[in-house]
Amino acid sequence: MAKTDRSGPNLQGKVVIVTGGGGGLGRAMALGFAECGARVAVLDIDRGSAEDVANEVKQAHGENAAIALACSIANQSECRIAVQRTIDELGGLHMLVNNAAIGMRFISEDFTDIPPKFWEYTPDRFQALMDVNVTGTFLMSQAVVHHMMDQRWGRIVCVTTSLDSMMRGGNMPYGQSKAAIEAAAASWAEDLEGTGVTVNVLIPGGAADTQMIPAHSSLDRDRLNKPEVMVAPICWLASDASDGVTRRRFIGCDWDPSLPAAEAAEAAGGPAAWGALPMRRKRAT
Amino acid sequence: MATRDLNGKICIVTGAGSGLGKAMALGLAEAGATVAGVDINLDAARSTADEAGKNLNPFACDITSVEDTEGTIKSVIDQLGGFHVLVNCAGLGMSMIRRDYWRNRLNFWDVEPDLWQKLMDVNVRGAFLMGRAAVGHLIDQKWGRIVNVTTSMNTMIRGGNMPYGQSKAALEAASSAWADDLAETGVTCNVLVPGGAADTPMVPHESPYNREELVQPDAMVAPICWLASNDSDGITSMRFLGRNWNPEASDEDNIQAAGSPAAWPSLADQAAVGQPTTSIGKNMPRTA
Repeated sequence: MAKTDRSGPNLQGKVVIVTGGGGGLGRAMALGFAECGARVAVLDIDRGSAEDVANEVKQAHGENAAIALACSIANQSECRIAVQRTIDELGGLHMLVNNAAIGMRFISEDFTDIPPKFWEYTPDRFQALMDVNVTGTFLMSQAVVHHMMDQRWGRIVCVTTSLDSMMRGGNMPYGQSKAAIEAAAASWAEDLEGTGVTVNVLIPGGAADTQMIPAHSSLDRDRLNKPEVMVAPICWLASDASDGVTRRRFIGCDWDPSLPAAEAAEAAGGPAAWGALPMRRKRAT
Repeated sequence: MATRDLNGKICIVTGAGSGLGKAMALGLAEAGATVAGVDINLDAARSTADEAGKNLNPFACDITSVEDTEGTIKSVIDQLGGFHVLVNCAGLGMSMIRRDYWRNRLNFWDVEPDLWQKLMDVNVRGAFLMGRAAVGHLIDQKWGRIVNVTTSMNTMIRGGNMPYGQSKAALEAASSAWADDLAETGVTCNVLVPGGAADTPMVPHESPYNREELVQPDAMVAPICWLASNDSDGITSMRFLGRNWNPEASDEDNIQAAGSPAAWPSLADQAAVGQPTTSIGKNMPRTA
């Protein structure tokens, strides 16, 4: 395995859950965490892919560096069991990365070339996507938050999408599911103010080269973001260096690893959601 | 003052039994439209119809049910002779989850998942099911309106306000996307909000608001009547604030004063690699 940035933060002693850790952005982040010394719970609905990534981590960093969790995050009791197993087997819990999501492929295999209109998919597909992306993120966050508040330190990071993707035609219900998570992340950060637990958003900053984009898509894969753009910012977010940073949204492809982390974070960050929108005033009378 | 003659327009208003939905249903009926006042509570819809006296027909519908939404659209077309305007107003507020949420803050970890889901189902799934059931007829006749009622942009992201805020963020995003999907069909999709907390049952009476300072539900009437009329042809992917709509002013002035693009196109400039950016909304002309 290629060694990543040696100047990454020291995450020894930190335990992280990555949902959707079996592939794509989740796998890249799980490997990046382990590289910095964190122990990782690789959570995925697909047991095989979770085990593959956990084994990859263990081979590089030892038997105690990872566990695999097969879990449907849309199910509250499965979420609770996964969180408890992490705490029991990895000796704690410090960060949740809400990365698992169903993408537009589930709605239409050809979505990149023929964007599906909102009346062209079934209510069942709509609901299944929303249940994982929105309900699942909520249930996992609920399942971890008490442990984090009790230890007065914690991180919740939500992977959403670009603000234009949230509202683009041919991109529902994926886009609206991410708008709902983005709004929730900003709100949860306020709920957690003063607790030592922060909530932030991290996105790649454009479509990423993962299985969410089918191989036959006409998109130029070389122009897609590499999943590794998530690694430097997510490891910084997992570290004590990001203490007090909350309600922000970070763009992975804008993160310059040649800069000191605090400067890179400043350059790649902004307010979560649409906090930067000027709020309209009452009409002058 | 613009007077609308909505004679011949057939409008479905969900949540017509109370609050903003009731005000819009009454206002549309008053302007001559034929209104289907939809509510999960048939008695409430009937009482709105009684208050209107004419032009308003009560329908019972659980908007979270595929069968109910498809059935209601079909019944309206069969019984009222057509269908032109869908107003997705039905929504559940935070008081459904905790009656005194305004005093006893509801942090997200204290929200019971079943109630969380119930709110999301009505506010997000319900609007989607009504929209998808409605759109075929509207596209076929090459004229139609979908108007989604969301909330203030800061309310969507405020602490202690989930899942209401995120449900409305999802509907706001969908409104912009649906307008894109409907481009060139003659069917528009826009957002209408009161422009602040409104004097409806969603804000409990024991809450500390001075009710006279809340936006009155009637603030929705003039803009919804304009949206339901041919005067708003071609206006899509916009959001309008009822509070800023002056019934005495011209439509053009009101579009300027009360309108802006739906959702957050001004922040969405970092275009996704390899993907088209939103075509409508961002470049939407601000006047008719």
